[in-house]
Amino acid sequence: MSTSSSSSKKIVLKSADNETFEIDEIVALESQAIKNMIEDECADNVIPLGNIDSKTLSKIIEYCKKHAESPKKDDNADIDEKAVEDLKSFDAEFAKVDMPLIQDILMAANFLNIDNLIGLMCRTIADRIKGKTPEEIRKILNINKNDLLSPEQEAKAREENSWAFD
Amino acid sequence: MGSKNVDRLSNMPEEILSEILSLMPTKYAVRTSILSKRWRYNWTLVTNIDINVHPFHGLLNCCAFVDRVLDLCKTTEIKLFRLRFSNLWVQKSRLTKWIDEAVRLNVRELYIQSGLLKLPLNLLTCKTLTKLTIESNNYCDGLDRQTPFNLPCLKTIDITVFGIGSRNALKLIRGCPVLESFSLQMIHCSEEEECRFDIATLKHLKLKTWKWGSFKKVVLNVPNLEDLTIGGRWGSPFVMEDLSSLVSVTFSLYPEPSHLWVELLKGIIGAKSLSFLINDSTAQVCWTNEPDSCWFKPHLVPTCMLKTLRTMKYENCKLRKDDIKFIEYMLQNAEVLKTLTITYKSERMEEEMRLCAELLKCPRASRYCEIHFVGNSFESASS
Repeated sequence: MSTSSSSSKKIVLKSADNETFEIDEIVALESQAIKNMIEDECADNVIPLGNIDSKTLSKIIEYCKKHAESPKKDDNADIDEKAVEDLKSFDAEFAKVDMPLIQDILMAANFLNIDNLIGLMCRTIADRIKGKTPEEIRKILNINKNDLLSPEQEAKAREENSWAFD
Repeated sequence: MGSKNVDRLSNMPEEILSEILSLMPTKYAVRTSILSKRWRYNWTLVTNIDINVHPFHGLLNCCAFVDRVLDLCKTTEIKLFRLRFSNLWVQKSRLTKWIDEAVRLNVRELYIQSGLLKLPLNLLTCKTLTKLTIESNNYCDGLDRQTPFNLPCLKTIDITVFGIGSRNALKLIRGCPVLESFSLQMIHCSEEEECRFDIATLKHLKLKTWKWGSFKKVVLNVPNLEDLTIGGRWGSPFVMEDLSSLVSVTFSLYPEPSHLWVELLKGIIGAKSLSFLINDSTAQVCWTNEPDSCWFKPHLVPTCMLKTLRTMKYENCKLRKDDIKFIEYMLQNAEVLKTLTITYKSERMEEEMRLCAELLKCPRASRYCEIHFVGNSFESASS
C-alpha cells in the first residue's frame, strides 16, 4: 500500500459476518457496482455487503488493491509490458485457492461487477475442468449424486454428440 | 454465501456459465452434457465455438458435430467462430453454410483453417466481423474487381496460404475502411501486378513468403503504420511512399544480408527499432546453396541510421563473414544507436569469443551504444 493513501478518501465495506474493511475510494472504484453507488450518492460511509463473508471480501479487496495500483493499459507503452507481466503473475497466484472459495469470489465479483475478476475466476474454473473425465469434474464441482443422468440418458447424450466423446 | 451448496456453478447466472463454457474448446464444453441433469444443455450457452479436428480423426463425424452445435447454441452473438480442419478438404457447400450461419449470428471473430476455402459473399458484407483469420492450401472468394463489398468493423486480417490464392487475400483490403492489422504469409507468389497498400488506418503489416514473393513492385503508402515485418525471399522492389509513423521494423529476409536489406533500410526513414531475424528454419530448408557474400555497403548511409534508429537486434546470428561485416557497418554508421543485441547459437565457444572480440574493437558511431551478446557460451555479456 502506498503511504500517501492516508490523505485520500476512504470507504468502509461491511461483510455478512459484520467485519468492516476500510479501503481507499480508488480501490473500491474497481467495483462498477460500488462506483455507481458512489456516483449516484446512495452510498453512506459504510457499505453493507450482506451476501459476502469476510474471507471472500478480504480476497476481493486484495485483488482490487493490486489492480487499482497498477498503471492502466493506455498509459505508456514502455511501462506497460512490465506492469502487465507483474499483474499476470499476481493473478496467477491469486487464483491458487480451492474451488469453494473461487466460486464465492466469482459470485461476489459478479454482484460487485468487477469485470476483470469475473474473467479471472471463469478462466480458472474453465482451466480446472477442461479435459477432465466426467467423474473428476463432478468431484471438482461437487455435483449432486441425485442429479445424475440415468445410464440410458447418458448413452443418448453421448450418442448425440459422439464426436466430442471420441 | 453457503459454500456447502451443491453444484453452485449451475446456479450462477447464465452469463457466467456461458463465459466459463466459452473458455474451453467446444468439444470439452459439450462433454459437460453428461455431468448431470442440470448440465445436460448448459453447453448451449456458449458464445465461442472452437472446433479443432486432427487429420484422420473423424471428419464426417466432426462436420455433423459443427452442424449440431450451430443448431443448438442459443447465442445470437458469436464472439469467436473457429474451425480448424488442418489441411483437410471440407465440402464447400458445408463450409459456406456454416459461415453464413455465423454471419447470421453476428460473428465477431472468424477463424477458418481448411485445405480448400472459398469465402462466401455473405461474409463480405458482415457488419459485425472484427477479425478474420484464414489458413488454407487453396483460398479464393467470389470477388471480382468490381463487386462492391464492405466490412465496416474489420480491424484484423491474418491470412496464411500454403498453396495458391495469395493474390485473393490482397483483394480483401479494399472493402475494409478501419483495417488496422494485415498479415499475409504465403509459400509463393509471382504476380505481374503492383501490390499496393494505400491504407490510412493500418498500424501493423506483415508480409512473408516461404519460397519466393514477386510483384511488379510493393508500394507502401501507410502513413499510420507503426510496425512492419517483411520476411522471406523477395524479387520485388519495395516503394516506401509514406511510412511516417513507423516505429519498429522486423526483417527476416533471405539471403542475408543483401541488397534488399539496404533498399529497405533506405525506405524505413523514421524507424526507431529494427530487428533482423536471421534464416528462420523455413527459409533454410528451401535454400541451401547461397553464395557466400551478398553484402555490399550502400553509397549513402540510410536516414534512419543517422537520425532515429536506437535499438537493433540481430537474432540467430550465424557468425559468417557477411553477418559480421553487416553488424560492423551498422555500428560504424548508426549515429544514435543505444542498444545492439546479438543472439547466436554456435556450438563453439571460441567462435563466439572471436565474434565478441571483433565487434567490441569495432569503432561505434554512437557514443552511447551498448552491445549485448546472448549466446550458448555465456548467458549474456555486454559492454
